[in-house]
Amino acid sequence: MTKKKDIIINKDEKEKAGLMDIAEIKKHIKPCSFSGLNREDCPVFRVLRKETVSPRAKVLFIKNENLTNRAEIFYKYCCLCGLCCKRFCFSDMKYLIRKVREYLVENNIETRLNHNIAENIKVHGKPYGDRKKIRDLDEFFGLK
Amino acid sequence: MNKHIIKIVGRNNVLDSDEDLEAYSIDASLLERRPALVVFPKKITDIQKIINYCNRINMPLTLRGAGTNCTGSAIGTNNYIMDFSRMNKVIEFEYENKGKFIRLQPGIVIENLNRFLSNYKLMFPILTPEQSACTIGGVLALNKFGFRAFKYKRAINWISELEVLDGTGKYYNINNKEDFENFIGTEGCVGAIASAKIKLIKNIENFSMDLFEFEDIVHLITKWREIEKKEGLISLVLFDRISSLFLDLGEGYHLIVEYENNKGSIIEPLKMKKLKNKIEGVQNLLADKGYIYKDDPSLPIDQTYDLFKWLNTNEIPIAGSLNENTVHCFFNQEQKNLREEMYNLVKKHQGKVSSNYGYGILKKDYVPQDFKRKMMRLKEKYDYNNILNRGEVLDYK
Repeated sequence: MTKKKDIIINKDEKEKAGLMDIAEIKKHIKPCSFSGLNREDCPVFRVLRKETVSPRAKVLFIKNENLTNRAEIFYKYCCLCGLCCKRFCFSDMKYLIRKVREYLVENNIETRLNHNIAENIKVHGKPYGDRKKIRDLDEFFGLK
Repeated sequence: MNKHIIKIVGRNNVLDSDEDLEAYSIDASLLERRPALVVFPKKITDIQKIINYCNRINMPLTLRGAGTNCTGSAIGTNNYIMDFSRMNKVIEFEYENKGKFIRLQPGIVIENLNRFLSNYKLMFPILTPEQSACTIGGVLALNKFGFRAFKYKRAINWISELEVLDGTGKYYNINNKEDFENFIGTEGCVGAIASAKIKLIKNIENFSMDLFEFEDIVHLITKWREIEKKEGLISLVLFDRISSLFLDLGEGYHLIVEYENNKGSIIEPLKMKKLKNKIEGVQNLLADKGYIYKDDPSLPIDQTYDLFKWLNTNEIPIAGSLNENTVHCFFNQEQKNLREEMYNLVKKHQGKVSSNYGYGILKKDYVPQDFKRKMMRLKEKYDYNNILNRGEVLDYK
């Protein structure tokens, strides 16, 4: 992980921006029964097939106020499709995930992948940079 | 990271990071038990090697499908968890000459299975409220019944062959019902199902429904007894006053009946679809209202009045199939301490505390004596080191 430059945001600006702390984000979790019934609706779960990326696990991490150490899950393993809430869940997962991401950014928490993508966009205008062929994404993003 | 386990299944099929173990510490029971490691088998030999290794190091192994179980049977403190989510292939499928069957790995999800079979106008008829996520392995471990249980009974009736590894890693290929009963309905405490050959049926095309409303429990029970004897009955679902209001069915108790013929008064497809949506969606609706703890006691029909009255007095909603006199009830956070009182009431009336969801960790103290004796006998024969789902259903050794 690398750190961004410190950004000072005062309380008024924070409220104006609609940024929340963890306790406030938690209030937006409707009573979740952790039934797991929506996990097959999640496209990320359907590919990776592990509980860690399921909607249920993300709600658990928010409930346990474990956002900082789970940054990669919230940044990388949700495509904000909202399918998890179409049939079985009355929470607004898209809203929750967005708020968690805002919280992480506000608290200068990013993963190396986020940082590399952001730098590529700044320098090259594209998330994957200027490489024409990418053989190994992990290597490309400096994760190996 | 355990090198032996990695050698069996490969690095990508073993999880032990902090976030993975936190995610696997829960299932639908709302209990939390943090495991030591999670492993994904991909084939039968993987399951066998993992069980053998766990026997060598005396490591309890918890078998997990989708984790939709509400009695804590998919979690375990400091256990290894064997997650079957990646064993989700169809091994064999016959729908023409040799009869209609399909051989599956245990991690196949029921809804995905039926979606695939619908292309051939076939179905596996055990449709549970958890079918969107629960696996065939989970359905067999609990020997579950579904919405249409009055016709299709329990899952064991639909199996023609099983491949199982017992708690010592010994392999069995079983094709008779007597031996099925050792591994189906024993909650994964005796053996791990490695594949199942299941019988299929054609989709039902001609059916009808009825909707009855009652002001009181006595008339409801009278009508229930009458309907149970009707020809062509597929499903019989009860909604009490509370769940009826949530579902916009009106006040009072409601019975929804489904027939495999035209004997019902409701035959319009759209009306039937609306009623079916209510039946299939009620658990989620109740969860959204805060009723997140579910139970499934069953009683002799002439004893159900007291249970209904108790549930009514305590404002605990009832919603679900009445198969085998099961009363599906739901508790919210404030009511959850009443569950034990209900279990004692059910026991007092010679009922079973669980009909479909199993006993797991949560209801271990209420396992009927005859089932406990059966499980002891099976543990002694198939899992004497008590590796599989240790601490569930009974305290063996």
